[in-house]
Amino acid sequence: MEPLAIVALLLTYVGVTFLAPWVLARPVLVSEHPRLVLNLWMSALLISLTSLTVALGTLVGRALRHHVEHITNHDWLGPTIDTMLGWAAIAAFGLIAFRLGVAAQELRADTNARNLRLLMLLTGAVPLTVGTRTVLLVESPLRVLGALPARHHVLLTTSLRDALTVPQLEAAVEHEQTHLREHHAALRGIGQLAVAVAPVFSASTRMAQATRIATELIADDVACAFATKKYGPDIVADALLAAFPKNPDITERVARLRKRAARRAVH
Amino acid sequence: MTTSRNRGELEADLMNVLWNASGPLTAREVQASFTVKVPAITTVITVLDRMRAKGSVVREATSGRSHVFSATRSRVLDITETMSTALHGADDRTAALLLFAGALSEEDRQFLRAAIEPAGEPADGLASE
Repeated sequence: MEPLAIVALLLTYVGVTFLAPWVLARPVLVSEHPRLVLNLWMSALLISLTSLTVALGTLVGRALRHHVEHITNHDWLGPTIDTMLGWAAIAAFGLIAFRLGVAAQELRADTNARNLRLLMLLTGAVPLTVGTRTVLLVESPLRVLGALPARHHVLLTTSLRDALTVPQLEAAVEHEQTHLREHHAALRGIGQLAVAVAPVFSASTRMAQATRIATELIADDVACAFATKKYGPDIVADALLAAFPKNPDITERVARLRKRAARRAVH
Repeated sequence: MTTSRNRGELEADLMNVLWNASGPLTAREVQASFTVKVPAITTVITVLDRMRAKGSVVREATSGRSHVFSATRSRVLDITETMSTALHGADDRTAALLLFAGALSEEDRQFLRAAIEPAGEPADGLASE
């Protein structure tokens, strides 16, 4: 591969890693088109990682080639530079692999520890049918509804069940099922690992945040579309308010859902 | 193919046995309640002792040489406490449990607020909170 192509690939890596978060992690874009943002970001990551791998791999390949080829006295400069770049590429591979390994290990250790505690909850759970879905019902005064990606289960507590109407409960469960169906936990993990691969760009941290928010909004939108067909446009917002009336964490999501419902009503 | 449980699963199974029993059980009675993947008696005793150290199980001496074990808390109390622990500081980063409440950080909410608030005026629903 020509040196120019290698430079182009490295520039693609730097450009995409820097530009994608800068373009995509805009609040209005994430709020209005969370799915588009997520898909473009995952594509950008794939392009970026492929460019980097091919570029570094080629540099290593060029360096290795000089070890098996006869080098004459007058062409020593090119092979020397190639060898040095080859070593630099190996070092870069090693650094990225190390950072990825550490980040993945941390992510896995945290997730495993918490999953284990959550799995213990399931021993006291009973199945409950909500609409066409089955969730695991746990007796508890705490209001909790959550998707447990490790077991592909949705966990619901009796207290939260009692706080919601049937339509609200169906919408809320659909929200959680969307997280599971669309592998949002894995996508959030990828967003975190991307920070490890591109540590020099603070934009990637911002993109990890946008990934986290986008997955939440996608689940809201899918649940909203599902509930609108059956019951009406405000069910998800109503469910959030009924479930967590004093929790400020839901304020922005409720406002966004109301705003979108009002806009749809006008149209 | 392995038939063993991991440590957490066996602890959960032992807690279930103790909760389902009408009274305190000896380690051998606990072992006898397993129908599949029956753990060795030494494993049962080791795990029960570990659970006792953690405070989830109490051990009492009987008139003979054996001991009986029972759960320190009811199932409901234990689940509530486990859930509280699991959710305490439920760092969204780990994504172990994706909650309906969202678990968005203050920074995440600011990000979202910037998208939905018209310039200079809070959006409906934000003002009321």
